Amino acid sequence: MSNHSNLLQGTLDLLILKALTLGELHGLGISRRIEQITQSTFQVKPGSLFPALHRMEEAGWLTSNWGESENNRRAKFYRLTRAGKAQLGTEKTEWERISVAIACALES
Amino acid sequence: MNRILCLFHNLFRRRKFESDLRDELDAYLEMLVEEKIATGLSPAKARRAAKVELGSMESVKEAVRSVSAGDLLRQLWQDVQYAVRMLKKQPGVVVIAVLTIALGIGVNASIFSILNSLLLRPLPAPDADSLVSLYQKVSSTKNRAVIGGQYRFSYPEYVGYRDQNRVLNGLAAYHPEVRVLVDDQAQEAEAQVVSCNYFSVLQAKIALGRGFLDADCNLDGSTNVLVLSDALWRHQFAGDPGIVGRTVRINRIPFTIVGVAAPGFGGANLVSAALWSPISAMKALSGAEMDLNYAGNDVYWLELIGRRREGVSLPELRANLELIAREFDRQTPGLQREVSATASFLIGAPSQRPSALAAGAVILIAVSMVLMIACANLANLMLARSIARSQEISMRMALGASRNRVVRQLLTESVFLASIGGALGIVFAWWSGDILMHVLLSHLPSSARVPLQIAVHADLYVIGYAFLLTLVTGAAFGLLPAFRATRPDLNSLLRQESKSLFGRRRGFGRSLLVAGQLAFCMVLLIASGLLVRALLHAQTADPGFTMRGVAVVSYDLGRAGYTNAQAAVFNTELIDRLHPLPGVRQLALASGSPLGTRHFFAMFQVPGQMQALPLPYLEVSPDFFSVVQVPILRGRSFSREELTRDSNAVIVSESLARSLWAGEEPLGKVLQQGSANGGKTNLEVIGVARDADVGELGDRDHRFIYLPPYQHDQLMVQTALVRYGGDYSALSNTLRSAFKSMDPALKLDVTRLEDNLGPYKAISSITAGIAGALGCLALGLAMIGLYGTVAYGVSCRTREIGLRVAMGAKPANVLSLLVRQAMRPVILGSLAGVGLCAAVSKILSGLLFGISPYDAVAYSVVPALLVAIALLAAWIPARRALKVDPVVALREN
Repeated sequence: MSNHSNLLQGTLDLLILKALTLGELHGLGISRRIEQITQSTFQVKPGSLFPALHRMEEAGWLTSNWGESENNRRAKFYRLTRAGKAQLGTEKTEWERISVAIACALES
Repeated sequence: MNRILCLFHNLFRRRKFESDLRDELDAYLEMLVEEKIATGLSPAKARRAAKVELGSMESVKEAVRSVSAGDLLRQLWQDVQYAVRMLKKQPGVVVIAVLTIALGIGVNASIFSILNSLLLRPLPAPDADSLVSLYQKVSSTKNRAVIGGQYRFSYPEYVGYRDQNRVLNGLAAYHPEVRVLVDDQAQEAEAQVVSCNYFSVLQAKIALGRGFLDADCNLDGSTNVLVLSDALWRHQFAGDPGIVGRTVRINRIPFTIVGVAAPGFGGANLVSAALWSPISAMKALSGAEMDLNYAGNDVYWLELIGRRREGVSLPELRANLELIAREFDRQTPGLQREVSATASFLIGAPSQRPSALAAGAVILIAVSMVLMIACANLANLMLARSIARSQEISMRMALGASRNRVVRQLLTESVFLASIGGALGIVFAWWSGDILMHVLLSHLPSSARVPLQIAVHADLYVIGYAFLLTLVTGAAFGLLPAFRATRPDLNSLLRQESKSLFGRRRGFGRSLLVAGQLAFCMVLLIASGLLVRALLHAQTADPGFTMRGVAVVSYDLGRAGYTNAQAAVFNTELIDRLHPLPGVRQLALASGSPLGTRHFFAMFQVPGQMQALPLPYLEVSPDFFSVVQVPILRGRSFSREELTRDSNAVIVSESLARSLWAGEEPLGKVLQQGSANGGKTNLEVIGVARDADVGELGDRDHRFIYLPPYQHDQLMVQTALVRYGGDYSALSNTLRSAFKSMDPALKLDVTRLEDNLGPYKAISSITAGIAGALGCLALGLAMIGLYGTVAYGVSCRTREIGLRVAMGAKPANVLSLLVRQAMRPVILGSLAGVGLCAAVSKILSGLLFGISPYDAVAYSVVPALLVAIALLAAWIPARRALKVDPVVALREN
């Protein structure tokens, strides 16, 4: 993640959950997908990505399996669980609440 | 994935976790490389760029590990492995530390296992958790007979609680302290009279025959039946299977054996019972107290134990019993009852439990002090080791380990050491508690030796206690060194420690440890000093009467089936028979002997004064005062006439006369004695006797009353005191045969009056022994600690000493400087210890028999001795400084 976006704790979780809504992805895939959907504002470094993936997997939001990558390479793919989808919902609502609040604060 | 499953995977499938992580990151790297190649970079450049982007593979792995479940445990495991590696390098340190801790924790845990089985474990009965014991506090015991404890119940009260409560599945009553003779055996047996539901409430099985039937328990009649304990059945009746239905003589009264209890059952008390009879047999078995109306409202004699109904909490139970108590209060105006219900324990009575718990706490604290002193030594050792390891520690911190992490690692090491010691200690405590208990019991005087229902063995409580102690120990000796070693400015500090000449806070932590050791050591030593003084005092004290040359014959006619009239005849004949015997100089009969086990209290009142006083008294025949040589200061002793008819004469002690009629002539004054039936007897003072410790040794309260043995109460006379000349053993045989000629089967105890000091000596010698052993252990440990500190200080300061000597200091000056510096924490610790001991020594006052808890001798000799020994312990290692060669010392750096 770039420097200034480090401030937003929890953003990473939201982005990872969002990136996985379309289907299972491996680590690099998630990283690239986040870049794509945030129009390259966020670049997730492996030092943040992997701990987050493992943490979320242990929390039960993600599940993983070993599979073949597009280049026939063995890679670990992550997929949303039902709990993960629910979590995405709550994080989304939370984020919207915060962003409205911040917007209000800046406009006042 | 389930979290617990994760934890399991992370901890026990470590290899799989690591290889998965590596594969995942490798795949990521490879895909990154392929991505870069696809953008047109050469493979080598692509790989380099990818590696730069990934950063350190290890740090990514560490980041993943630190978020995964069970990371703390993983670190702990790592620390333990590291600790094992470090400790392997120093087997000496490990052996010393482990043995010290094992000893400390072992002694602690074995003492705890004794206290645990005495005080904390529930009764040895099935489903003991549902058993409750009932106690009551009554607002006044005036005009009431109390047998065995004021918290007990009368029979009507028992019936009320049993029949009116809605919270208990059965309530049993019993009276525990009945000592009986079975078939005229020489040895007394412990009997209990119990309500008929006793065995069913306690869920005790009857192995042979039956328990009691309701018909057995009618207090108006008396069916003389009994149930034997398994032990008595085996020992005295050879386990005869046809015993049921046989008749035995209990206190000379025939009883029918109806059953034998199952093995292992000994009743609900600490003292295990040999036989049980229904409560209707109390009258027959109670000897001298047989005239009491046991069915009446004014005799408190029953202990109650019941089973809680399922689902009823203790507060609910108390509330229900409280209602019944209020109902009783309404029936007896002017008398309030406070009823309480608690879980049942072997020592549960409110008169015993608090003091037993307090005594237990004192012992545990004393033993823990020894452990803490030992911990201080280990802390010193660890401190020296952590300074030696300073390079390693500063390297770890320089590489980025946080201070917390390093402290945790050092603590893991000390707790790990403590755990090995603790485990050994538990193994030690597993057996030692029982052995220790036997040693203690075997030091009791034979009169106090009764069969006890305790099985001392370690259980989960003991192991839990030892485990807790282990953690505390590990933290106690590891914390200070760990924080010292990781102090942020460690390096500069180290340089100061070894090189600066006049650093002020040098070795502050060590001084603190030495001072603490000395303080604890002082408390233990002064306490044992006080107890040793008490022991000497008990042997040499002047009780105010003469013990030498007096023989005591104890007998109990009531228990031998005599009536009062028969007893009067017996006692008169006894005097006539004993007088002419060779060796007998003087002879007196009394209800008990001075400092004996029989104590009597009654309410006395000066007419016109509001307050009636409970005062101790003895019933004595006229010659009592000359036999024990207590002079009558004013007036006279009782006359023969006052013995044969019921008189109203009374003799009071000097102190009592002074407190009741200060400055007045006591002779001829009137004293009222309140009797059990509510009437009052006027007594006239005919003499004043000199003060003596008749009731209790070292008692400061010398108020005492002597009454003549009443004609209608001759069963109370249970002691003959004989002043003799010549050989005691010859005399004791003569006395025995004289008694035997009057009643061959009467149970006799012939002792010397000095033997009454036995219990006092036993208590003080046991406590002085324990305290002395602990004190010596503490002293030894503290002196080792002091020696080590001074020796270490000298070796650290070689350069300074060399410089001082080079500058012209005399070796003697250097020596005295070192000793003075070492003695500073010693003096401070000693002062703290004396203060601490003065603050707490009051709790010992019950064991000191008249020695003040602030006894000047103990408080001056012990500190002086301790400081002298400390001086020696500091001086010996300090002499090494004299061997320092200034040239070598200065060249060293």
